[in-house]
Amino acid sequence: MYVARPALAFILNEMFADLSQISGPFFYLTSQAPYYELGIWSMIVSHLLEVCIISTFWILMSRENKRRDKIQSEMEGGLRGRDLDSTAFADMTDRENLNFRYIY
Amino acid sequence: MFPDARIDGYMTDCSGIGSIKGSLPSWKYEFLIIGALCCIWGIVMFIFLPDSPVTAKGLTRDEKRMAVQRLRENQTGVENKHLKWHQVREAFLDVKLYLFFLLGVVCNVPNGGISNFGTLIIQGFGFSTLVTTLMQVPYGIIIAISILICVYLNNRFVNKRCLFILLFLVPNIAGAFGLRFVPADRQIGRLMCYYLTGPYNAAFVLVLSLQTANTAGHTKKVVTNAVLFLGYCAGNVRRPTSVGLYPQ
Repeated sequence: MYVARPALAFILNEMFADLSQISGPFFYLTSQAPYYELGIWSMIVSHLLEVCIISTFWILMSRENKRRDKIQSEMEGGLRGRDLDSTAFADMTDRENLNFRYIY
Repeated sequence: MFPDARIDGYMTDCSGIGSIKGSLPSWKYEFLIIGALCCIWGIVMFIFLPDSPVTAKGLTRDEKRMAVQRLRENQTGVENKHLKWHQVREAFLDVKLYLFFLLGVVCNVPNGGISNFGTLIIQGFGFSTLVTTLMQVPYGIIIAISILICVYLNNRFVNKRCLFILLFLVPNIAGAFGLRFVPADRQIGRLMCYYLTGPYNAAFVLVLSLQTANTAGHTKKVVTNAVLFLGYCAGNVRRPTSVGLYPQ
């Protein structure tokens, strides 16, 4: 099976997504009708965790982009003189390829 | 893409699936028919979706060049059939992979419960099964509109995906607090709080796009999509007997 990093990330994400989708309804205990305190709090906590994770991601990616911009602007030719063609189709990962910029 | 209870509900009633009287309970027919349609769609995508802009049959030479130029700009590359172990190792050493795992978990825990919960609230109104299912339609419309707005805004602005995810999560958090604290006798208020949880799906669409856009290394897109569909179909076959909604 020919799999590389993005496919791996997707597959593993889906596995955990399925586990959590199956586990989600179990927080909703019939004894807690009609408010389902545990269930709704599980939803609120999940969303707040999502906010924290996205904020962390945002900070990490914007910092990494700035770091790469700084390194490349100090190189010969600066940011405008970058050779995008040499890396665009070279099957390099985002870490290997200094031309890569994260999207956040 | 999401075999939602809301869109299912609308399709079920417009097509009359909900009225099928056979040896199985009617809700099982919904799962069978909608599930079969999803599988057929997967096969259609496998046959007709091109692997890369270079092999796409419907594009002219200029259009292919434009598509490849876009790939050149975002540096994610085209298909490559060789397994590279150092990329696999780098994947596991990359903190982003673990952030995406956690996102996959926390994004889907609410999803499992909220659609069941919504049906419970609507059933509390005491309408017939048909009206109860139709009351899910506004929720589906809210989801569709918020996804369209989200995609348009994302296209318009550069590097604002995380901001839009956070923005589209706000109604959801508000709705969730409402569902927890609004008294049970305020049925309409609780229904509005439930509808407020719709835009969350738009945030999830953006989370998926974050995942594809921020990893480079070659991927066979059709395999990824097939795995994605498998994952969502498996994840969405939730235990229907939970929360006492469906009889055994």
